[in-house]
Amino acid sequence: MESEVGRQVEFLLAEDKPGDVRLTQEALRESKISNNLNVVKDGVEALAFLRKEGQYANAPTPDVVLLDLNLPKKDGREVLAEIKTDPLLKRIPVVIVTSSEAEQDILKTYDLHANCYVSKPVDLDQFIKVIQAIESFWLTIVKLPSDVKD
Amino acid sequence: MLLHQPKVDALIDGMTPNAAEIQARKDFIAFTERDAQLLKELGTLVAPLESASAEFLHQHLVAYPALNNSLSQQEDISKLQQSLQEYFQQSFAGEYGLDYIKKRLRAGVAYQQIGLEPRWQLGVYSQYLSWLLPEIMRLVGHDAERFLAYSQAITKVALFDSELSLSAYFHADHEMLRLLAQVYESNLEAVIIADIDGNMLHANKSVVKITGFTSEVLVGTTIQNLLAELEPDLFKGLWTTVLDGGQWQGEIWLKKKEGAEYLAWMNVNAVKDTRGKVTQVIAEFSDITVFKQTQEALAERTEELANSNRELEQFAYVASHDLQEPLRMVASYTQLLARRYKDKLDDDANEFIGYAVDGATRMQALIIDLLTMSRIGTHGKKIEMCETSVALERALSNLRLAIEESGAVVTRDPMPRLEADVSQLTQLFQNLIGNGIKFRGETSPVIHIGAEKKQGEWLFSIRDNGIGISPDFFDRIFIIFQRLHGKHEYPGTGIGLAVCKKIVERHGGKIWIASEVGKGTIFYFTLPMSHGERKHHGE
Repeated sequence: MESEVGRQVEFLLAEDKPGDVRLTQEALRESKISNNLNVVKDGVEALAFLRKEGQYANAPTPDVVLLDLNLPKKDGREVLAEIKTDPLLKRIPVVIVTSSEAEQDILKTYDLHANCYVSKPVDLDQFIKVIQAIESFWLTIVKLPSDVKD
Repeated sequence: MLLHQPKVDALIDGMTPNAAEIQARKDFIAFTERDAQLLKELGTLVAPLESASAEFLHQHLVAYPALNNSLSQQEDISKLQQSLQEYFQQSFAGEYGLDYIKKRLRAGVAYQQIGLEPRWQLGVYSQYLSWLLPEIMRLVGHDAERFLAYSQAITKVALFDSELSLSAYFHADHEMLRLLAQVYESNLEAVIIADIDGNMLHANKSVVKITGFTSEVLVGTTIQNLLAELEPDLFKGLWTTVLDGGQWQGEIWLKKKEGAEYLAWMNVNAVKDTRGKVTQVIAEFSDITVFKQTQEALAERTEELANSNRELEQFAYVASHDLQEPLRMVASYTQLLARRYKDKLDDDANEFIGYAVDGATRMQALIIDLLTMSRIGTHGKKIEMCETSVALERALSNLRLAIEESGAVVTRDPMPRLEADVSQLTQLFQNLIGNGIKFRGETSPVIHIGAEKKQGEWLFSIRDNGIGISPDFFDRIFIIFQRLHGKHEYPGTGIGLAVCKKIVERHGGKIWIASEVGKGTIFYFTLPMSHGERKHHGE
C-alpha cells in the first residue's frame, strides 16, 4: 500500500523504554505501508535528530514524530514546546504516545500544540491497533506538510 | 432592666412592714383611726368625683412631654390611668392596713419600672390636693372645722402613701443596682472601672484572680500598671479612642503581679453622663493564652492533616501512574508471546498465559480506579453554584445505553440549585443510578431520583427495585475494592460507591443506604444548601 507521500515514510520515535520501542516496531512490522522507524532514547537526542546535528547530520526529516512524555534529559513536554516554536520544525506532526491519562497532561500538551494525544493501551492487540491507526491516519488520510512542495 | 413578676412579689414581701412597724409609721405622721374614719366619711361625699379625679390626673400627667417620653408605651399610660382611679377608691375606703400598704408599695415598684421619677409622683400628689381640696370645700359648705379635719386627714394619707411608694421606688432602684453590681462582681470576665485618667475605681473578683493583685492594691493606681512592658503605645492609642467616645477591642499583652506576661482579649468602653461627657471607662478582659494555644495547636494539626492527606493522594496518583508502565510491559509481552508461539506451546502454557494476561488486565482496572479515587481530592474542579438537574441529565445521557438495554424506567423530582462540582456530581448520579441498573432483579429496573429539603440540607435519594443488599454489608459497600458478588455474576472492581462516598464528603455531605434483599435499595446522600438559601431559612 502506498502512502500519500509516495515513498518510504519516516517515523521518529522518542522513547526510552526498550519494551515500548520493540512493541512499536512489532506493530509497524505488520503494517502494509513501507516505513522506517528511527528511534532516539531521550529528549536531547530527539531535538538533535530533528535539527540534524552531530551524528544525525544525515538523518531524514521525519514525516511524523511519536513522542513519549516521560523522557530522560529533556522531557516530552519540553521537546514538544521546542519543536512547536522552531520555525523549521513546527510543521512536523507530533503525536504524543504515552501511558499517562492524566487530564493535566492532555490539556498541557494540546496547549503546546501537540497534533494529537494517544494513551498506550495495556492490551497488545489494542496497542497494535492504535499504532496502526496512527499510521493509517497520518500517512494515508491526512495531507502532510511534507507532501507539499515549497 | 425590668423585673419579672415573681421578682416584684418577692421584693414587695421583703419590704412589707409588720404590724408594729405600720403603727410606728402612722404615728410618725400622726395618722390616726379618727383620720381613717374621716376619710371613709369623706369617701361617700366625694364618690361622684371619682372619674373626674382620674381624668384630671391623667390630663395633668400627659401634659408633660418629658413624662410622655418615659411612658413610651400606650399600655403603660392606660395602666397608670386605671391605677389612679383605683387609688381614689382605695384612699377613701377607710382601711389602711396591710393590703393597702402592699398596694402602695406595688405602685412604687411599678413607677420605678416605668421610669416615673419621685418628682412626678410628688407633683401628682400636689396637683391632686390642689384640685381636690377646693372641691371638698364646696361640698362641705361653710363648716370650716369639718373642712380642716378632712384636709388634715387627706394630707396625712397622701404623705403616708407617698412615703410608702417612694420607699418602694428606691428599694426597687437599689435592687436593680444590687443585681447589676452582682453581675459585675460575679462576671467571669475581669472588669475594671477607671476614671478618665486611667485610675482604677473598682475591680471585680476576676481581675484579682487573673492578675494576682488584691482589689485594695489596684484601686487608686493606674490601669497602666497591668500592661506588659511592650504595650504602652498601643494603650495610649486605645485610651484616646475610648475617650473620644469610641469603643476598643482587641488583643493586648498584660502583666501579672509576679511579672508573667499573658495575652488578653480586652474590650474597653466609655461611660457617659446624661450630657454625653465621658465620666468613666470600663475595661473588660480575659486571659486568652490557653485559648490561643489550643487554637494554634488545632490550626497546626489541621494543616498537618491536610498535608498528609494531600501527600497520600499525591502518592496514590504517582504510584498508580507509575505502576501502569511495568504492567503494560507484562501484559503486552505475555500477549506477544502467545501470539508468536501459539502453535509451538502446549495447552498448559496457553492457560498460564491466559491467567497472566487476565491478572494484568484486572490490575490495570484497579490502578485506573486508584487514580480515579485520588483525583477526586487532588484534581477536583471548583465547587460553585450550579443546577443539579444538569448533572443528573449528563449522568442519564452517559447511561443511555444501559438504560435502553435494561428497559429501565427513570423518574425524578425537580432538582435544586446548589454549590457543587458539576462533573463530580455527574459521576455521583451516574454511579448510583448505574448501580441500580446493574444490580437489577428479574424485572426491568424502576429508578426514582428524589430531592427534598431537610434540616438545612438537600437530601437526595436514588431508589431502585433491584436485588437489594443485606444490612450486614451496609458498612462494607462504601469501602474501595469491596465487592459482594463474584466477578462472573456482576463485573466490576468495587470502586463505584467508594468514589460516591469521596465525592459526597468532599462536598461536606453524607451518604448512606437503606435496602431490603429482594425488594430494592435506596441510596441517600446530603449536600449543603447554598449559603443564600441557608440564610433565607434563618439557620
